[in-house]
Amino acid sequence: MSQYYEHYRKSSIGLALIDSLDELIQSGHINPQLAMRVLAQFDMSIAEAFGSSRVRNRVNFKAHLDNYRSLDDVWTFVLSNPTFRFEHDSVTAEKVKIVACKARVPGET
Amino acid sequence: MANSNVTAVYRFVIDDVITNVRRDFEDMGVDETIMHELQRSWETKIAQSRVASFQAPEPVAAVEVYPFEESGYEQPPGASTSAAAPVSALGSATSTYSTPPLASYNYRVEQTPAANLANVAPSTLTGDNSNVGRPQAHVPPRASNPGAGKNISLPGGGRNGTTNSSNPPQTDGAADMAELEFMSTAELDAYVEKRFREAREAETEVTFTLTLSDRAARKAKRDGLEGFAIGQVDGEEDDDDDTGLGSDLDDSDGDMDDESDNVVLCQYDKVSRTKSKWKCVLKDGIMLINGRDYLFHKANGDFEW
Repeated sequence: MSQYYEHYRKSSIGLALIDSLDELIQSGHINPQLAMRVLAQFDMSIAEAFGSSRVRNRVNFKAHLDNYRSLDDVWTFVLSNPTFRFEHDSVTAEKVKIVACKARVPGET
Repeated sequence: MANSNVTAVYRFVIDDVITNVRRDFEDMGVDETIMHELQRSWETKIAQSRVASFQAPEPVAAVEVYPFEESGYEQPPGASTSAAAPVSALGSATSTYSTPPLASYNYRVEQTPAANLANVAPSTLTGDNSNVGRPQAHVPPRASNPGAGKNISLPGGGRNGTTNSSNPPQTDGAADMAELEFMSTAELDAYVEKRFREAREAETEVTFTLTLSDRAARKAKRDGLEGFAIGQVDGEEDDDDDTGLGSDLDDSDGDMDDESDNVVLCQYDKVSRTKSKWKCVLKDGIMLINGRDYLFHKANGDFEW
């Protein structure tokens, strides 16, 4: 199980799932153990979604780097005024935080 | 639209998760209706977050009854005792459980236990291997105390980390907080806007406090109130946010945890620096930018420090 990253749980879709699970735990319909199982499955399903080339697009972005950190193979960047250029359009923002785990080399666990 | 594939990918993830946890629900003796409720609730939340053009599931008619069949379980003789017995105690606790915010899902426990029994009894009594009542050694004692699960927070428990679990039910009167929480985002927008307008007219400093959960407050902000600082009333900004990545990222140096709403979660292939120029090659990213989600397969970033 540990070969799947858990940080995608902090995405919108992951947080929505956590909220839903929390509600079911609090109302007594499921136990935390089952919720963990669902989240572990979520990690796998996200990996599968990316791995099965459902997501193909590229992004280029430029930004000013305000802060950075690298710890245990996790890079964190805080950027200001990033511009993300997609294929057809671009998006700008004031600030963005990037949390990047080390990409797994195929075959390595 | 750059995020047009988000909906399809999210659809895939939801379906894949639900398909693959079915067995876990069975193994734990949790009824399938709960699993469907999880899916419905999850989809609703995504739709409401407006991060993608995601359709909310059809609201179920309020009259629909979710019979909590497990409350009528009978253990087959000799089965492990932990699975279902205490659940009937849950009946009253769950009977008016309503999900926020899309209104009026009233879960009703069947009034006549006999009816439930009728549904369940054949499979359990004949001892076939249907999931209900199957002895499961590892099923933990199900909430004989319905509050048992309340203090457990999930790993990576969201931006507000422990907030959810430390939100005990309000017992001291008017539940204005709950009202806000259960407002739809549209209502919330209207409410907040009205409050700001009032404050402006009165030319007072805008210091009203919204007793929203941190998450809801962010959502409100994202939905068009950027620029207004919403007063935080629930203590310190949560530096101890549990990121689910292990403790490493949590050891704050405050600047890093300068929470912005825009977040990119991804993996890196390469990060390099020459003097003040940084380059990084990223992959498999989920980005939340200005309230919209975007996905990427590959990304190249150029930063200047």
